[in-house]
Amino acid sequence: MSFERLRRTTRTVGFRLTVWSSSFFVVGSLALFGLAYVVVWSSLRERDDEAIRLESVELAAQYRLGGVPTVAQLLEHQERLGTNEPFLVRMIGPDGAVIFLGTPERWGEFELNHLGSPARPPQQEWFSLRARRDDKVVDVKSLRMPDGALLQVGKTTEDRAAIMKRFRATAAGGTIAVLVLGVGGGLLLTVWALRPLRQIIDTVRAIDAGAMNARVPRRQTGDELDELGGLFNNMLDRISMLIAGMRGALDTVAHDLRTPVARLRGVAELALRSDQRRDALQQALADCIEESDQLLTMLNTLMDISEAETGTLKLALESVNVSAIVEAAVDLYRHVAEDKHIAVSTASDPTLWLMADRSRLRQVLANLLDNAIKYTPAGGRVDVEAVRHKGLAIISVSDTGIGVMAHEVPRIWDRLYRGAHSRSERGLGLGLSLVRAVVMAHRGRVDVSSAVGGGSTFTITLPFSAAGAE
Amino acid sequence: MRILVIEDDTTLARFVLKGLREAGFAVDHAGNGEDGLGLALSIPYDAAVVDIMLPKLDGLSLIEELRRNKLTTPVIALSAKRAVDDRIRGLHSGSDDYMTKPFAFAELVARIHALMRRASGVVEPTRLTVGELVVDLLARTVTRNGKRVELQTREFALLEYLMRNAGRPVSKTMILQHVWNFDFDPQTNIVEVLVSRLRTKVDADFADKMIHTLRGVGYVVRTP
Repeated sequence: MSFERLRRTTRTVGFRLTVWSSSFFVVGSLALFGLAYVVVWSSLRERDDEAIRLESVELAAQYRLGGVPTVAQLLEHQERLGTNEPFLVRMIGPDGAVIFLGTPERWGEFELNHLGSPARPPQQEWFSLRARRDDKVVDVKSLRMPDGALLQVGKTTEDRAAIMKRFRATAAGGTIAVLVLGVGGGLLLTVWALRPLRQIIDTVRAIDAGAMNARVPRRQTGDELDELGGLFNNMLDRISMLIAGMRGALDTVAHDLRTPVARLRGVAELALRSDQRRDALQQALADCIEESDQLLTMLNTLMDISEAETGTLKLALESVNVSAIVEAAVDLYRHVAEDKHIAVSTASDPTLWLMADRSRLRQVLANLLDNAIKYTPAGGRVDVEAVRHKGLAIISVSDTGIGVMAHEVPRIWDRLYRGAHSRSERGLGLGLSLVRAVVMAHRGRVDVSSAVGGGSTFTITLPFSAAGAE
Repeated sequence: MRILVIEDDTTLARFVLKGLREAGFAVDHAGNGEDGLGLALSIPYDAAVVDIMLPKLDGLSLIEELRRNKLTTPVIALSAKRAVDDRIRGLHSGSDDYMTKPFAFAELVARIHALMRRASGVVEPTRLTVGELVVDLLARTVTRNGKRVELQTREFALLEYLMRNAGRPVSKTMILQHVWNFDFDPQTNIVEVLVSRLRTKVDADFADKMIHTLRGVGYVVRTP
């Protein structure tokens, strides 16, 4: 159980981020300390070497001036002044005997005989001399005098070692501090940075468990993760809206279909109940077919409207010539208009092209023309116009018909709404709803201006391209 | 002409079988995809009507299986979905067609005829004759009993369509599709108006009427 938990923890992004960031932290600071150590150590050593060199040069000069006594004098003088820490100074005569040994009591602990003699001088000009017991070290420089004597000047590395020891202690402390900071800081940072992700995960879990209205809490910081949370919420809102829309559409369809189904049933029942002749029964059956066709048309139209309104209607977008669409729609109603003595005229810009669903746009225009012709008395006229205006296509259908009463205007787009005058006309009361839904699915808008008895003008405004393409 | 109907809904199957037999076809029926495929592979049918949703083997797979076996029998797929999905659309090549349920029976018959015509590779006639009514498709003229009848474009298109389906009724929806290429039903009597105009020009001067209205079904041209 706890092993499984550990494995899950080690797999989390937070854990891995922490491990990586603190590793980089520690490795980086170790490298930095190492470099500093080398630099400090070598510069300390150079300083010591320089001191030895200067001392030996000075002592050599004294020796040439007055021999061993002068050397001793200088050393005594230096010791009195206390300027320098004492040097190890040994001189070996050309005959191999030690002719001078400075501050012997202090240097006694060193294997001085390792310093060699003029007969067997040390191999290198510089060498280190180790203490007998502890780990003290003396750096020694040997200098051959012109008379064959050997001058040896040395200095302990005690100072240097002490400084380096302190440095190492500091570095170790620093590294531990860096490690703690790196791991702790990394952990805090990743937990803090990943919290929004954690919240999104929690939200998804909640939704998965059925809480459809769960949302990611926003922090309003404007960073990417906050933005992601916002987008996620928008998506959820949209999905909720679609679900609500579809549920609503289903309710509407179920409700709206009851009346025609009742009519259909009524026709059949009436025919069955009465003892009728063959042609009357045939009549009833034909009525049934017409009612069921009507029912199907209604069902299809209602679904088109719902889909267009919820944004699920598939639009087959293509480049469409508006003028051609207008002409096709007018052509469809040509004979109907002629029979009713209504003059239909078109004025459309032949260079007007749109990205739109050809079939749907034709349906929209046909529905508007249908309305215009239906509600215009004989002798009237219908004008269809399509123009380009400020990057938009504007298509208007005007008639000299009965108009719409002001209080009816907001309602004419409603599903199944039939105005006072339209009740006597054939129709489903879905035409304008479909027009509006399809136009809005194309990211356009439709307006009406009307005066009772003075005709109506329906105006569709469509963008050239946007047309629902996302 | 022998037709295979593969449809699992017994009421709909009975209706289609009866109608097709009355229209003069010899008809076989299979109630599921496997039986249907067996029949289609063993008997050379002139056409098949296949429901998409079938038990055991779905309609689309059945059609694909037929095509794999190099059988070019024209097929009409019946779909209960309103939106035609892409797979069916993909089928809609020369020898296949689709219809959505519910459909007018007249339309099914007309589509079967159209598919068989296409499949048989018969040269399109340039002249259609029904009784004393003659339509010359090249000169685009119409005569009845030798007397010239002047028709406008849409009237001509309607008469041509009725004549091609002489004796078989065509529905309002079919007329809207063929004459205007509109695939939805405007709630206005557009078709009635056009038919009545055509009738005035073709039938008004004669005692014997050739264009008949079958209420609830559609229109038909036949010899008086």
